[in-house]
Amino acid sequence: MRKFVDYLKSKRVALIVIGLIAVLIVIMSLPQEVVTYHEKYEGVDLASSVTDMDKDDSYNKYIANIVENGFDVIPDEEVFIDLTKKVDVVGQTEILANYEGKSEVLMMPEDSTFSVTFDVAQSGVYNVNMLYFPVDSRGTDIERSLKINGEIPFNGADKLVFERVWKDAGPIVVDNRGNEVRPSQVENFYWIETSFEDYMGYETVPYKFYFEKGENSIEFESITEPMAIGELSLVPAIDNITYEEYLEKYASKENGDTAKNHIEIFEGETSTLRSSPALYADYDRAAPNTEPYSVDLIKMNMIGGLPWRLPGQWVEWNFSVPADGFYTITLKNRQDHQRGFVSSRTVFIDGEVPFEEVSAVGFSFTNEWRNSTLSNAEETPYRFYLEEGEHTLRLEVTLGELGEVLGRLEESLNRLNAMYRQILVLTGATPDKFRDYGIEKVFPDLITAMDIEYKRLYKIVDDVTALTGQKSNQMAVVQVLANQMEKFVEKPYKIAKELQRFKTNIAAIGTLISQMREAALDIDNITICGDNKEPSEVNASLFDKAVHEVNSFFTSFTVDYNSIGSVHGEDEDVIDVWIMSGRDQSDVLKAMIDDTFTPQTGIKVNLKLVTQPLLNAVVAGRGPDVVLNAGRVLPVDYALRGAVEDLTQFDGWDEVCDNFHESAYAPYELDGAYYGIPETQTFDVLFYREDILDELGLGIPQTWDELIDMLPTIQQNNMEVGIQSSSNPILAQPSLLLSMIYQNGGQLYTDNHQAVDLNSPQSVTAFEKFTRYFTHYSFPVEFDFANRFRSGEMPLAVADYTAYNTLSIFAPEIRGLWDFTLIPGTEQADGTIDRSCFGSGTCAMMLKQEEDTVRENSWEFLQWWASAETHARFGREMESILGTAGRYATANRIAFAQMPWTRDQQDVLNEQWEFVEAVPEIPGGYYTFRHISNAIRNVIYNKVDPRETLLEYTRLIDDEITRKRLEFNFDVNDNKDKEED
Amino acid sequence: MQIVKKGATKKDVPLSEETNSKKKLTYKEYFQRQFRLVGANKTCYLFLAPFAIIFILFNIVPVFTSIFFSFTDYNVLQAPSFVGVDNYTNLILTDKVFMTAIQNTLLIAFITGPIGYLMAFLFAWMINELPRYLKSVAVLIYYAPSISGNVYLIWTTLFSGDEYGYANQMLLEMGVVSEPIKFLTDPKYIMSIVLIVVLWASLGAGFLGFVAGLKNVDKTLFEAGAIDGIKNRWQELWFITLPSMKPMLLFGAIMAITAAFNVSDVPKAVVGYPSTDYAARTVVTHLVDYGSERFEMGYACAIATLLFLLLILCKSLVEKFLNRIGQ
Repeated sequence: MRKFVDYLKSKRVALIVIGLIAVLIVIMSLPQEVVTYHEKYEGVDLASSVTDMDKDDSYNKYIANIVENGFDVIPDEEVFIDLTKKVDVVGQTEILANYEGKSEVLMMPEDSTFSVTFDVAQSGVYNVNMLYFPVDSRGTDIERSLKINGEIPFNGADKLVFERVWKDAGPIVVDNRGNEVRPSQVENFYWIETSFEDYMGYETVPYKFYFEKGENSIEFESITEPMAIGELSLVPAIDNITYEEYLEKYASKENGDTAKNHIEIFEGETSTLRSSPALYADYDRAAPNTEPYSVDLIKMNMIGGLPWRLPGQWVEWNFSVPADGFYTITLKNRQDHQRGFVSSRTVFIDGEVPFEEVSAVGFSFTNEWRNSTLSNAEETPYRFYLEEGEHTLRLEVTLGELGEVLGRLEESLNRLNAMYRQILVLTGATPDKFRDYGIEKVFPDLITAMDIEYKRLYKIVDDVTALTGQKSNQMAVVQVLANQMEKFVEKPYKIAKELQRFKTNIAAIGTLISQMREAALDIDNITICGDNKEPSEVNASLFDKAVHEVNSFFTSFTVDYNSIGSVHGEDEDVIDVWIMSGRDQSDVLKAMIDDTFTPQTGIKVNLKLVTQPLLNAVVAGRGPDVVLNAGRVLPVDYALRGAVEDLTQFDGWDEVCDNFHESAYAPYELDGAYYGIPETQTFDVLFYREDILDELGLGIPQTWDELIDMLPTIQQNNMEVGIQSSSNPILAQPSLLLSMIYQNGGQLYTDNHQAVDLNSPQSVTAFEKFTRYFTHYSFPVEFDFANRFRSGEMPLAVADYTAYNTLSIFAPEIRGLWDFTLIPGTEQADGTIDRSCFGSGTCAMMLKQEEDTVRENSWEFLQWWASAETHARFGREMESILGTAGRYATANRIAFAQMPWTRDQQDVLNEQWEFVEAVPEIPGGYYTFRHISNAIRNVIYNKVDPRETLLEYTRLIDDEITRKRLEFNFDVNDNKDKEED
Repeated sequence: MQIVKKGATKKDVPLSEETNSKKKLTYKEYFQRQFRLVGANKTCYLFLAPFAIIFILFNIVPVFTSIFFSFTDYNVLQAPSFVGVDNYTNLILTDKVFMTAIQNTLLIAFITGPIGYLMAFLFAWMINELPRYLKSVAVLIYYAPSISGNVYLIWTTLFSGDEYGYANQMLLEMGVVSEPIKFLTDPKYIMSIVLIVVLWASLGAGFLGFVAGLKNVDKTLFEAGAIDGIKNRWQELWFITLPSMKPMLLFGAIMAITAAFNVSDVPKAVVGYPSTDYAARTVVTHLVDYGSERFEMGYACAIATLLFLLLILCKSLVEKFLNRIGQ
């Protein structure tokens, strides 16, 4: 042993180890030869379609069809469509003689569809251009669907997005700590000219539509938001000119000395217009060379970042040049968001792309700010001809050539999902490893489809590699999947064995697509230069960086990062508000307080972001005055111990209440007094996959019985229905059981709130029914809803409506294939369907106050916070920062109407909302859910008698409630006698 | 009163008094004498003060406050009222869940405590034999679970009750089970899972102390031992290494025991809170349930006091056991 140790210790071994490591490093850093897979797919017709797995209505197919038939003629003349000839199909559109400075405008409200016929003089390929005015409404993007001659020409035309344009409401202001506060964002209403485009950004040029000579019609259907249409025209689909043609065009123009010696720098944060309210001036404190620079204060010094990442989002600046002439454009930029990817932007000058070369300018990954002059591959700067005076420069996110590849990848993904579902029908989600299912005999088409598909995937890998110039590790997923399918085609029996991995790989591709669509970029400033001037160099020396880091380390001791915005002293008219939420939420809220609440009322607010120790702070007497985002149980818990204010004592409580459903504030009531104002409220809806239900020939179940009738078909196809069983160990809330109890005519607590009412016959029946789904109908007890819904294994599932937010972001590949509706109900004796359900939520509450002024001020604040206006704005701002994922589940009904749900979605949610039951919180209520969960689990796992189990746990809960009521000297329920009868 | 004699020197106390009242020395006089002693040695006490103040403030005072509150009915937000030993009688005589909690805690303590402790020691011993550069790498790997916070959450993925959870997927594929096992919510499995995770997470406790202790063993002792007839490494371990690092062993043991008795984050995060039918309830989760969920701080303090007594008991047991090392 000793010898061995000595041997290990000898230096020779150390040298060998070091040598080996060195060799490894050298091998790994050798330039890798880029492997391509061209031999795998060359000579194969990748466009051929197999079976019905193809969605035949893709834009690529549409264009391919046009080209195939020789229709791709570019006509000479524009066609103006006379909107006065419109015919209303649904709802009411209106021709206004004069609107916002334009005559004969078609006003199109949210619920309307119109069609219009017109003559086309020449067959050919046109872009459709439109001049529209974003009518003031909820502030979300306008969506329309287009039909040409009665049908949707391709998938994508059914969702045309027309953006609203945003600007700063005022200048940047400075708070009392010297930090700059970004101005709030307001819409800029003006006539906007646009072409119909792919909103996903896979197509980087406007959609091309084929119109035959003669009479044609367009049908325009409103999906969300009203708009006014000023002009609608068909424009010949001409490609952009090249840089050479551009130079030729302006060759004769003069380029005087004023122009040559001009140099102007304008800051990125001074942009005038933006396509999204989240795209505002931002600050970067991480680098020593931003302009303006501050190590400890917030100085707006850049624009862009994550809010500027999705195709179609743009920022526009105004600038002017002193004389006609040629200028270069230099952007001080940083793309530190996605390694190995090129983030592209389209350059518009005065609303147009000057030449094809700048329709996609790439910015590769870097950690540092750098100056990039728009130039060609040889680094010769492009010279833009500008006339004297004002100009606009717009940079729009584009996917560039990657877009087309991603479009193909998404189509592949759709087909892969269809394949997976087909396999599922035969094998189920967990196939028997030792069985040969003979997939190649049952579904010969499937193997053919896979054969083509893996070749397509290899081509995609090659294409992306060619575009980015290096093998991106993110593409490894695609390569792995292609590899796997290649194996499947050779040995179909492997499919069953590797089905799990196949599924995971498919899911990974979905994630990959949403990642690759993102192309963020930061802009610090922009330099416009004449021929004789050069933009300054941007680089930070090691010393600069060191000084910066040391400085920021020391300032971290003096700056309080937990307080947000202006911080006020211990004044009388200052109230302390704690928000138990995230940083984004608190930043937005503080900005709203500083720009609206404080100016209006003169009440100063200190906002703090806290996570846990509310109780400790309250005990120590250092608690806040108002708590936001408090959990459902807090108000009653605190009220029992006299630590919160009864809100009914204030004037205006009734008006505040009017904005909410009774179900929203019922949990905050104790003995007729209310201790909390609702903030959010969520409830269950039924999510369903339209495509799969169609495939299976099923409708949407209206009642639980209908659902059970559908079950054989679903389960025969090895799919399943998802309902929450309360088996998740962390979030055990048996909301669906409660829904069923209420639908059955039962209730959770007795009318006097002194006991649970689970031992009533109605509740017991509901409980038996609920547990039977798991014990008899083998619904999955535990599952990951988003993933199974996305893969199609679970075409029907009841889930919280906020799951919509997740799905819309997380599963782009099933966009348009799913929707949600009311939860299944229980048919009543009179034939109506009761769809009662249980809702949860958060609230705001006011802690006990000693001083009257503080109490009144806090109430003022709560009133402001609970108002529809504030909620709507908060929701809008959250969504603008976080995207759909951050959609605010406001409990305020009026604010809810202003949330960017489509009309249909709003109708569904409002209808379900009416069914949400007002379930109170009671002393000792913490015992209820935990024991209901225990009861459910006991029945499902141990197959014990549901009735007995439920009654047993009911006794436990009742005992605890009685005990708690005794503690607080409340009346105690005497239902013991009732039970013994 | 023996102590008094020891403390009192002839110089401090006049002879006459001593002879007069050898047995009648009052407490007052006793303390006066002690204070005089403190005065004489004030530099020493000054050096002791920073630690002593903090220790008293943050350890001794809370213990006594908690003992005080355990005799009251205290809901945190309002003033406490005195209820005598009600909390204790309720706790011991009527609280069935508390019995589960005690059971579970002892189970965790007796299984993960010694096993974790032994494994930590064996590993430290092994690592001690490695060359220096490998040693630091091995130490890091071994200590990682303790410093990496909530990494034990990965166990929830591993044991997820979803049929796609790793463990379930494996079992399903091997045909051992036909439907997924709800490891995290079925009371039959909950405790086993908690034990595994706690064991995994506890491996680092005391380990660093052992490594340090092993390094400090006097090398000359080995030589002397070899001359005196140590035959193999086991004897060397038992007669030389272990006795020389007794303080570290005690430190490690106390760390292991307190860690085992304080288990609460792991079951909370892994099998939920509260776990199904309280299957994974430990004394500390019980305490948290009463303290912050039900606002019954008096009762929670009674639990804490009992836990405190239990810990002291265990510590003296371990001390007795460790005293036998090398004998």
